[in-house]
Amino acid sequence: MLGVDAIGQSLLSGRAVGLGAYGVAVTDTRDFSQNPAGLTGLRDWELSVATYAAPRLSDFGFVFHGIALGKRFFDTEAIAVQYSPGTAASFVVPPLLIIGTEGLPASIDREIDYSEPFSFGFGHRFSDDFSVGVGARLRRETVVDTRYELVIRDTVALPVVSSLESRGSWWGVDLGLQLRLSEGVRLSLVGRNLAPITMRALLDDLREYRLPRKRSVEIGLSGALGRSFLLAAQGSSDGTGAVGYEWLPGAGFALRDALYFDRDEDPFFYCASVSAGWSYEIMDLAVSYLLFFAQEHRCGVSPAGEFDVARLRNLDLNPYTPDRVTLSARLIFGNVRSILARIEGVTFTGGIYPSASESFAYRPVGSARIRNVSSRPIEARVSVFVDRFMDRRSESAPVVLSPGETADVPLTAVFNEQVRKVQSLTIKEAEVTVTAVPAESSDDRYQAKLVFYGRNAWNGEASALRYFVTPDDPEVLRYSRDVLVRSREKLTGTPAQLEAFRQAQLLVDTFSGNLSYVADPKESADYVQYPAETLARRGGDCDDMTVCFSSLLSSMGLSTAFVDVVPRGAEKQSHIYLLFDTGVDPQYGERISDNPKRYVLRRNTRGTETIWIPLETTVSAGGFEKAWTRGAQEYYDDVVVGLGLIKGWVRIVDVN
Amino acid sequence: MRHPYATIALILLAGCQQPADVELTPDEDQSTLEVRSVVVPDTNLSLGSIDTLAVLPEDQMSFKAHFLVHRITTDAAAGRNVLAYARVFFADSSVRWLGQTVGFDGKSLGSVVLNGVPMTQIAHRIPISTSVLTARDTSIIRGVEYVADLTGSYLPAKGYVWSYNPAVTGLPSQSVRTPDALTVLSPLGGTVIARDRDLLLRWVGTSGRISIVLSVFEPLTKRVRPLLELRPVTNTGKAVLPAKLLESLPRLKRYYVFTFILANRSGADITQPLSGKVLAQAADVYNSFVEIR
Repeated sequence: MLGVDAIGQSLLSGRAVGLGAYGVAVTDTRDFSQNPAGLTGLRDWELSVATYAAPRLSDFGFVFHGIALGKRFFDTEAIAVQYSPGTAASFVVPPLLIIGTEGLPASIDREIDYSEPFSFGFGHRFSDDFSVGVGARLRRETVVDTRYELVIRDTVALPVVSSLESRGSWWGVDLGLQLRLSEGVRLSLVGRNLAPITMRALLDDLREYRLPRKRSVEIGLSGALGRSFLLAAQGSSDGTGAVGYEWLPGAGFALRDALYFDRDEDPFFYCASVSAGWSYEIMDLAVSYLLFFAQEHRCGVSPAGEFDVARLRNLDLNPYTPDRVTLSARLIFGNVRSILARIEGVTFTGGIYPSASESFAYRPVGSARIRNVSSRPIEARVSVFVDRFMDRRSESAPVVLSPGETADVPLTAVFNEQVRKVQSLTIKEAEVTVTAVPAESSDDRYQAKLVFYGRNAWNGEASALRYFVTPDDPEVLRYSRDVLVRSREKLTGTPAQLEAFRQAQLLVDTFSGNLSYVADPKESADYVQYPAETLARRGGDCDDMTVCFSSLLSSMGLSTAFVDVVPRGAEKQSHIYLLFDTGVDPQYGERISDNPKRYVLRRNTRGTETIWIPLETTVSAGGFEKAWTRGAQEYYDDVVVGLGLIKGWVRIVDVN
Repeated sequence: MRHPYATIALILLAGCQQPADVELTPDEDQSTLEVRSVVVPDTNLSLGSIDTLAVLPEDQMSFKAHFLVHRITTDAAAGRNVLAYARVFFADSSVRWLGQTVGFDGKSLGSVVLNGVPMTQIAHRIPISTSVLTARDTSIIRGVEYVADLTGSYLPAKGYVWSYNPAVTGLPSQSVRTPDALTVLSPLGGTVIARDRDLLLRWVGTSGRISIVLSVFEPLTKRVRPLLELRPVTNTGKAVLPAKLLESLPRLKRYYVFTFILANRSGADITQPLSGKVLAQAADVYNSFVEIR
C-alpha cells in the first residue's frame, strides 16, 4: 500500500512547489489556501494564475490549474478567492463486465472525479508580527457508476445496463497564523478541516469514495540568512512535510529547491522540486518541476485493488500525482509600489512665526526620523505640507539610507502669503511624507501638530526681526518717495557723496515729526508691527521703529543693519537700534562728522568699507540729530567701551 | 495597454487540457467477464439441466447430435460428490404432446463405441406433464441414447474417440480431449455470499474454454434455472463478479448455482444420416451451490 496521507501542500504556484514548506512563506495570493494568514502580505489588488503539465504522461499538454484574485483593504485586512479547475483528481475503473452477445462493454465501470474548484481566504494582521487567516475550500466528489438490473422473463434473463451519477460537496475550513518570532524568523501554524460543512453527500453505497475529512495541524518555520536567502521547513501531524530554501541572487531572480517527506512513503524523502522565478515591475513569473523518486502509481495507471480514497487528502499532491511542470504568474495592480521607507516620528522644533516664514525655506521647522525598511539602499526625500499655508509640498534634500538604517531628515517649508494673515495663534495639521527611490509617491505619511503664531509675533531674535522689514511695501515706498519729493529743494547742492546721508537725514527728520514712541501692547519681544502698520498708527516701540526706519531707508536704496544688544545678566534690558550705510568712503568721514566716534566703519554687502550711522530710533521724535547722537553714544558704549561685539552680547544683523 | 507582456503571460498560462485520468486497473490475473443471457428457446421442451448436461439450452437445441464426456462435481452444503459419464444423443424427429413439441426422438446409431468400449444404449426418456396443472410427472420413451459411466475412469487431458459399428453413413468418428482438471476455489459449495460485496471467482484449470453459468436453484423441485453465462475473456483462474450484478439477482431467490464448465469442444456440420451440426464436448464441470443474501 502507498502512504495513507499526503502532505497538505498545493502545487498552485511555482514558488509553492519550489519552496515546499510554503505555509510559513505565503505572502500573497499564490497558493494562499496553504495559509490564509499570509494574505496580509498583499499590497493591493493581485492576480495569480498557474498552469501545469505532466511530462511523463503520454497525453502531454498544459492544464489550466487556477486563478486567484486578492485585495488588501483597511491596511490590515485582505481577502482572496481562487478558482482552480486544475486542482482535481479523476479515476476511471474500466469495465469488469462485458454485457450482451454483441460483446460491447459498458464504457466504464466507474468514474470518480474529485475537484477543489473554489477557495476563499481572509487574513487579518494584528501587528507586523502576527497575522491570522481563515480559509475555506470547496471539495466536490462525483461518482458515475454503471448499474445492472436483471430482467427475468420466461425464456431469458436480460441484464440491463444503466448509469447513475451521484454528487457530493463540502467545505473544508482551515485556520492559519503567521508569527514573526524575531528578525527574519517566522512561524506558521495551520489547522486543516477544522469544521467540515457538508453541502451534499454521496449516496450511501458510494460512501467509500468520500474524500477524507481528517483534521490535521501543520507547523512551519522559516529563517532568513541575510537578505537573500530563506530556509523553510514544515511538518504535519499526519507525518508529512517538506524542507526547502529560496535564494534571491538579484536582478529579480529567485531559485528554490525543496525535498518532500512522508513517513508512509518509500523512500522517506519521496519527492524533490526545483523552481526558478523572475520578477519584473508588476509581474512575477515562475517555473517549477516536481520529481517523484518512485514512479509507481504515478504514470496514469494503478491497481484498482490498491485504491484508497484516504490517500487523497490533497488533490494536488497525492500518491497518484505524476511528475509535474508548473508555470505560474502573479500580477499586481493598484498600489503596486513596495514600501521602502517608513516615518518613525516627526518633531517640530517650535512654532512658525509668519514674519520669519520665508526663513523656513532654508531653516528647518523640524525633522522626521526615517527608516529604510527595504532590503536595498534607498534615496529618500521627505516633504511637508500644510494646507492653506503652503501651495505645494516642500521637499527635503535626498538622504541615502542603507537597509534598516534610520536618519533624521530636516524638514524645510515654503509658506505662502496666507501665513502672514494669521491674526492669532492657530494650530494646523502638517502632513509629512517620505518618498524613496524608485518610488513616485509617498511611502508613508505622518501627521503632527504645528503651531502658527500671529503675523506680528516675533521670537525676539534680531535676525528674525529683519523679516519684518518690507522696503517693497507700497505704503513704505509711497512714504519715502513723498518725503524725497517734498525735500527735493533741500537736497539741491548736496555733494553726490553725501546724498544718501542727506536723504536719510531728511527722511528721519520728516518722519520723526509725525511719530511718537509708544509701549508694546504685549511684551516687546513678542509683537512687532510691520512698517505699514507703524506708518498708519504713527507710532511704535523700539522694535517697530527700528523696523520701520530700516524699511524706509531700504526703500531708498540704503543698506541697514540692526544692532542687537543683549547685556549679560540683564537680558530684559535688551535693545535694538539701527545702522544705515551712508555709502561714504571713510576718507571723507570729516564731511559726515569731525568726531569719528559718531560713525562706524564697516563693510557693506558689496565688501566695500563705508561709513555707517547709528540711529536710536526710539528718540527719533527729536529728529535725526538726536537719534544719531544717542545711537552713536550707545554704539560707543556697547561696542567700543563694553566690547559687546567681541564678548558676543552685541550683534550686528545685516538686513539687506 | 500598459503591460502587454502581462496579458501575454496570462494567455500563455491558459492551458486547455483536462487533468489526466488515473486508470484503476484490475489485478493482472483477474479477467474481465463477458455476461450473456442464457436463453431457453422453448419452455415446453424437455432439455437437460445445465448442472449435469453442461450444455446450454441454446446449444442443446442448435446441435443435432451431442457427443459428451463430462466429469461433474457437485459441491453443496451437504457435501461434495463427483461423477463422470459419456453420452451420445442424436436428435431425430420432434415429439409432440398435447399439441406441444416436448422433445426429440433419439436416433439409433447402432453400436456406439467409446475408446473401443461399447456404450450402453438406453431408452431416450422425455419428461412430460400429464396435465397443464402439474409439473413433469411422467416420461415417455422416444428412441435411444447412449451412455457410459466414466466415474472410475475419467482422466483429464485424455483423448476420447467415438466410432460406430456398423459405420453410420455420413457420420464421421468424433473425438475430443478432456480438459485439465478443474477445481473451484471460490465460491465453494454451501457458501453464503453477500449481495453487496464483490464476489471473487477463483478456479484452477486454465487449459480449455471456461464458462460459468449462474443459475437459480429451487430446493424443493431441485430444478436449476440458468440465468447468465459468465465467460472470462481470458482464462486466468480469477475473475470478480461485481456486487452490483449480484444485487440485480432476484431478491426472492436465495439459492444459486455457479456451474464452472471447463470444456474442449468441437462442432461439425453433417448431412447424413440427418442434416445438422454435431457437438463433441469434453468438460470438467464444477457446481457450487451457494446461498446469496
